[in-house]
Amino acid sequence: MIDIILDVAIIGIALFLSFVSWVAYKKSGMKSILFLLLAFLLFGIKKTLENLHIITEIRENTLDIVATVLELIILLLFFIAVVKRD
Amino acid sequence: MYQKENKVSDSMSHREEILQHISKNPGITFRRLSDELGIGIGNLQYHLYQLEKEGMIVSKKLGGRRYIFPKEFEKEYEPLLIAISNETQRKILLLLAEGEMNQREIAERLKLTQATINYHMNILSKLGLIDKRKQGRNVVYSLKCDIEVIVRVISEYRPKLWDKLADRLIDLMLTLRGGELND
Repeated sequence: MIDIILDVAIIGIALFLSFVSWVAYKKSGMKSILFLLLAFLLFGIKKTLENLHIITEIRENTLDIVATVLELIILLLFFIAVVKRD
Repeated sequence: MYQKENKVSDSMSHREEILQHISKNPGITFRRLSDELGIGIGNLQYHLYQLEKEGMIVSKKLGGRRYIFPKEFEKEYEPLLIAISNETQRKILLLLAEGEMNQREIAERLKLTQATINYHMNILSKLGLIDKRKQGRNVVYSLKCDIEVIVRVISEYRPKLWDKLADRLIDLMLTLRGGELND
C-alpha cells in the first residue's frame, strides 16, 4: 500500500514540475526548458505505466522494456536540456 | 430633476477624484485605490470601467492584482509589468533604483553569474526600462523610468509559488550553461 501512495506522490510531483517548466518556458521562451518539461512529463507517464498492473492485466516483461526505454529517453532529454543552446 | 442633476455631478466629481489619485500614483492597485479613497468596490469598479472606456486610464491584471495607470503610461506600463513578473528582473530594477551599477556589481549583489545577469539586462534593455552608458571599461546601467512607480508596482506584486519556481528554473538553466548564452 505504501508503495502505491509513494508512486502517486511521485506522479503528482512530476506533473507539478512539468507545470512549473511550462510556466518557465512561457516566460523565457528557452527551448532547453521545453526538454525539461518533456522529461518530467515522461517521468510521470513512466511511473503511471509501472502501476498499470493494478487496474489491468498486462505482461510485466513488456512493461519493463517500455519503462527502461522511457528512462533512457528521460536521461537524454535532461542531457539535451543542459547542453542545448537557445 | 434637480436631484438627478445632483447625482450626475456627484458621480463626475467622484470620477475626477479617482482620476486625480491615479495620476498622482501611477501603478496603484485596485484594492489600494479603494482603501485610500474610501470608495466601495462596486462603485469604484463602475467608475474605473467608465474611465477606461473614455481612454483616461489603462489597467492590467497581474498576479491576482489589478494595476491602474493614467493614459500617459500607455506605452510604459506593459513592459514594466512584463519585467516585474520575473524575480531577478524585479531585484535588478530595485537595485538600480538605489543608483547606477555595472553588471559585475549587480551579479555580486544578487549572487548570480554574470551570464544570468546579462540575459536579464538584455531583456530589460529591450523592454526599454533601463539605459546603458560606457564609463571607462565598464558599461553602467540606470533606470529609464520613474523610480517611485517601479517601487510601488513591485511592492504590491505577490508572485504565485509556481511563478517563483519557474523564475528559479530559468536562472538555474542560465547558470548551468554559464557564459555560453548571450541573450
